Amino acid sequence: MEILRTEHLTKRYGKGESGVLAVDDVSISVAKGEFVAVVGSSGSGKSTLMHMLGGVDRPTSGRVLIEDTDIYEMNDDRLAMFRRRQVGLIYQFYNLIPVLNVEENITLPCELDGRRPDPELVRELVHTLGLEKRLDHLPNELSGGQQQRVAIGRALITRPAILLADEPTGNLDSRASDEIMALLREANQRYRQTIIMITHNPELAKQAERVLVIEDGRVSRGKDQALHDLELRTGDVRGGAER
Amino acid sequence: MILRWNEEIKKLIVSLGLFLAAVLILGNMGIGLFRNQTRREYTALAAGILENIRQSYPQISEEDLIRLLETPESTAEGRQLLARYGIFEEYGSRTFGGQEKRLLYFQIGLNLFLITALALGIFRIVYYLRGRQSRIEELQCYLEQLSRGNYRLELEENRDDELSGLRNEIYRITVQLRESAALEKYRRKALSASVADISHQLKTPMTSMTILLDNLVENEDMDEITRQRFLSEIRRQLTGMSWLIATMLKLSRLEAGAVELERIPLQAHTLVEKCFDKLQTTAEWREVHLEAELQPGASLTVDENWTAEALCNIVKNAIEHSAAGGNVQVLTRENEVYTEIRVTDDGVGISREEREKLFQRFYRGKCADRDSIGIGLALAKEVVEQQHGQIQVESQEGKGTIFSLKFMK
Repeated sequence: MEILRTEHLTKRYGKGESGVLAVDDVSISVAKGEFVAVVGSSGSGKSTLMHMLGGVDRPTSGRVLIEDTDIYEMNDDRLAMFRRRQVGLIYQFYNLIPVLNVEENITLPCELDGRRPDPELVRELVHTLGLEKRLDHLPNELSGGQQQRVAIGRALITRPAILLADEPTGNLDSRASDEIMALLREANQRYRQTIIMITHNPELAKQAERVLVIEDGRVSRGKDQALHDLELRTGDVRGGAER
Repeated sequence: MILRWNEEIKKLIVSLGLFLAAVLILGNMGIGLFRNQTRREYTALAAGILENIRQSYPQISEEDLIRLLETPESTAEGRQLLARYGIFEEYGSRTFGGQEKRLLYFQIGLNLFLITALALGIFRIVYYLRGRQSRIEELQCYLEQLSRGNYRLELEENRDDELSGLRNEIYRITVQLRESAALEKYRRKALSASVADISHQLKTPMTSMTILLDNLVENEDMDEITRQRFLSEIRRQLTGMSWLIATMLKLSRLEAGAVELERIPLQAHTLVEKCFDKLQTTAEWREVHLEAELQPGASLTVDENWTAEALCNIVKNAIEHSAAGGNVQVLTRENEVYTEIRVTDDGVGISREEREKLFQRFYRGKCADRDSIGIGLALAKEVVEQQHGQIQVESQEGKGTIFSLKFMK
């Protein structure tokens, strides 16, 4: 069951000769419950692609369809509401609200929607994230890994259609990285959460179910060759982890 | 019909009606009182003046007095007189009679205004309720479709109100139902594939044993050594079949969800020790060294027997992939998010293609021992994943393999 599809998605900055084609005619499809990694080196257009998928940045041309809805057909208000309910976002730099504690940060999207969060879901999430003892802590009292876990909780509380993760482990050491990746895979396995993860690290990408390689704004269908090339270029040739 | 009547709406209209009636009545009463007051003051004033004149000028007759009350054409002089002495300043240029008229107009106007305003208000409410009713009807229709198994996906409206939130939830349920339906289908297929698998896998040892037995029966002059060898082989096949059947049944039951895993908090090292006990002999026989690096206190909440079996299958696999003199190390560690059990060997490793097929039911690795069968790993994967765990494999051919089992909290 397809949950996301892009049709000739393009983003151009600037005009004419000095214009930059950040994303170039990308057409991809993601099925519900898939865990997809988009790998690319710096400047390959992966962040731009992700922003367009999340409804944050309007494309120059092309369409983004989530659950068969063209998200850019909506006006700004509807789009904002759509984003709030159907898209979960995790960033490299956590972006937690500094004045809210862990629990409040996690339940924020529900509060913004004027809804009471399901206490059972909150409890379960908090338990899985290993944050039970830190519910009333503020972000500045948490380690990087813990903050990212809060961010994951916040992203998952609305059970969004898709979860977009932009370099989720970029700012973390390898231990915290492992924890975050395990949590993402758990979300994917247990909640059938569709996840699209952006990373520059082919190692991490391999932990996903499917890999798309992006370079100069273009996406190749994640064939082994493309991934292999990327590995060679980044000097990462060890046999990788796989499901 | 403009609006479907129900208890709620009736109550709403009735209470609005009562409110309107109360406002009108009280409003009119208030104004009525005020008018009365004005009238009284006017009368008192007139009576007062007449009384005073009567007393001061008794010679004026009653008729003349009454005529004093008539209002002449022009009252300009009179008004100037009043103004010079600052009397009735508050009335400005209005007369009592004028005041009363004004109040009357005011009363009529207010009544009209209130009635109009409330009528408009009611129309607005009816309009709103109508819109709501039709949306609710639509949702009901949608739910009816769902209950009939028609899981069509409707576009989200995304308005900022409660009905939209409700619609969201219904939509989510739709998706879940649809997935459940698909999963059921998949499970049924998997089950019938299981049955096919089982009979296929049993055929091989059965055929082999039949041949051996045939040989034994037909060949009466077989020498004792060969005879013993054949018999041993038959016994070996039977043991293998027995294990295979037992494991397949377990896996089928797990996949069908027919097994209740009893998850209790356990120390990780208990599981490892159980495995080592069981496989010590096998390891020694293959000259593989077993090693454990156990984080003290690492614990996980799992079913002891099933998880131990899963772990054993993995360790057994590691032993079998190791050359003589190799090492198999089991490591346990716990962090805030999961507890990991890691099995590392320095054996032949697994190629990429094999890795992909590794957990499929009956895949036999290229270097697998004649006894080992891929189903052991399939079982391990099922056991781990049903307990909120993940299995991952890292391997390099010629270097070794790492199996990582992560059990989420």
